[in-house]
Amino acid sequence: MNPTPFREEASLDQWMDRHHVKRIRSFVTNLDGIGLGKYCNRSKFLKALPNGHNIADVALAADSESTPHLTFWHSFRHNVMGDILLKPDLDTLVTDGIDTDLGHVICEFTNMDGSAIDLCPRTKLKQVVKAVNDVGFQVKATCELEFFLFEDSFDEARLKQYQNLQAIESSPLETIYFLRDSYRAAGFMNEVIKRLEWCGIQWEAWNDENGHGQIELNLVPTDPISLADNVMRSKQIIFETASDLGLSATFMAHPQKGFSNGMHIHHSLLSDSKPVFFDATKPENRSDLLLHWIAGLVDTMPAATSYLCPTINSFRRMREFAAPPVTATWGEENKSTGIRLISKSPSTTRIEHRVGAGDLNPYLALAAILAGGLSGFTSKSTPPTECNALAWGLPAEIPRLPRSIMEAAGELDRNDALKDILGHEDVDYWIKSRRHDWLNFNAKGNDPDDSKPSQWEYDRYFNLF
Amino acid sequence: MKSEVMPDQIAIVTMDDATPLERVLARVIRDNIKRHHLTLDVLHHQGQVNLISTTSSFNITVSCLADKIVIQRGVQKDAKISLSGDWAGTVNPGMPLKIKGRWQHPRFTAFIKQLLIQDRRPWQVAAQEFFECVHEKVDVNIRVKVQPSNETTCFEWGSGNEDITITGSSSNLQRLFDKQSTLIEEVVLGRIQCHSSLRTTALLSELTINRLLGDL
Repeated sequence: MNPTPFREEASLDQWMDRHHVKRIRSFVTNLDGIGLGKYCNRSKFLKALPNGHNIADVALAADSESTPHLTFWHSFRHNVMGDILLKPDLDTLVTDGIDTDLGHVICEFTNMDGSAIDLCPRTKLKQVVKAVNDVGFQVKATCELEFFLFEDSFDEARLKQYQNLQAIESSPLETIYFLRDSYRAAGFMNEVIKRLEWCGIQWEAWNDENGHGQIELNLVPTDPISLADNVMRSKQIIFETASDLGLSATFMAHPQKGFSNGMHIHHSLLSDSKPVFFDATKPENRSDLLLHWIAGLVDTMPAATSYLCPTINSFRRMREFAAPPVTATWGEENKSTGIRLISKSPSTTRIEHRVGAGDLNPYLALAAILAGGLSGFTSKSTPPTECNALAWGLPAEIPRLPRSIMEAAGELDRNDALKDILGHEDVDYWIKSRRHDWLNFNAKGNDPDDSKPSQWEYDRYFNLF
Repeated sequence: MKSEVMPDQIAIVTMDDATPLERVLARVIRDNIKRHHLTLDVLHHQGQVNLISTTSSFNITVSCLADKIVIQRGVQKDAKISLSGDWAGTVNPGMPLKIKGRWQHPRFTAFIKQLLIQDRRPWQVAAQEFFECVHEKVDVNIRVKVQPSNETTCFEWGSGNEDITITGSSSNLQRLFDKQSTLIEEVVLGRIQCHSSLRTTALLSELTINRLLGDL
């Protein structure tokens, strides 16, 4: 393991010399959760510091196929097509390890004067984390990354229009924790783990998941910004490893019949490094803060679904008895509710938010979740009754979470609690970007009731997520 | 399920997950009810009409019931008439469509045509209405010149500090301003040229989409 982060160093030049870094790859995440950036010559990169290098403003104002958003507007944009900056966070600078003279750095979109653009997903998460810090808490969070792995290369998958791909598994069944399936994927995962560790990304475990060729990778909990950075880097590493080994992998939420890719997000709050969700003096060890926080999460869950299930394809996952939650509910150790609470010991007490799809933007999803909890804390809300039963197959009068991209956008549009924290203009822009995708999907003649993903979804999501 | 009741009490009902095409149809029906001053008593014409796509499996049923008109996906076996057309690649089915069953139900067919066919008003009339809507809904400060490529007369509106010019054939201008198309689609297809700032283009495009979908 050789993470070699720059954050330990006094001089960037010396760090680059010592690690023979001649090129830097900037890495920024757009609204759709897709990694963008440039490969920069070392001198160009250094010359552009501290504000970073230019990039077209439409990088933050385009859809997932890079078509500029030309039917709605945000105040950060230029009246003519112009440039903005990718401001590097030098604390994230690491060497590549494979490409020996390459370094990587995570960036944020900023205006040309270096000032923040609130719409930038990483900036947005930083703002929400600060709001939580301002009321006295620190956040620790982690994600479960689920993805599908196929024998077909990305090129072969594209030529086959992503149909009948050969999943990497030993059993034709949708087994879980099946060691023979894991063994088939172990060579790939060993390489992934090696690259993750090189970049300083700590992991806890990986296993065979239910779907054909599906793998789950668990990351070590950390602060939300580092977590989202780690998720984006892990997804890129998984893509690169698959690409290098002639395989393909996708975080697309529902690429094939059967189980789907989710991204469950765990978090807990600390104050002075002590967990504050646990209170041994309260019934079932649940602190008042925990209950307020859960109340906010449940109340905002239908609206937050827009960020947690951001694509047309995300909603193919949301079916009763198919593993993902379909109601805004919570329960102790209940994996059928939207919120699974784990509250039996101080060190492990946490909230698992189970709505997220594999194709979510980790910065925006974390921001929406923390904003929801914060709204409950601020208003001292009381959560609805805990769901101790299976939260699938409930009577029809129990409201379901949104079942489409536009239903979710509508819920978000009506939710002032999230808008007040996430920013009205930025939320409105997000909602319009979801309508843009919905119009695009429908304008291409796709049938929304077709049970199979459309070619439009494969072309747009398979390689990008 | 969304229900919008017109002043004359004809409710137009669409599903929560209505597609753009369903929403456009709902808006067209609302506009036609208003334009033709239709009241609840016209709903003695009851029955269903299937809108069949000739290029995909995507179909819609418009059901005229005693007190409302319901738009939903799928087809009904006992529909009185069916309309068919190619609406892949558009959110607007357009007209004319092929009509089946009209001979058995001539009055119902005439009623459905009255509900679904969008009037073609002179482009200047539509443009005037469009820019009044711009004035009311959009934060732009513009002076507009609309110049049809096949006519000598032009349309001017506003006295703002940003000059914008829109050109195209009078039929394309009519479609654009009368809720039958969107600015961005017309521009991308080269049927309309719009010279303005990117912001104004985006905001005007958004308005054309909102008007098309009935989101205002």
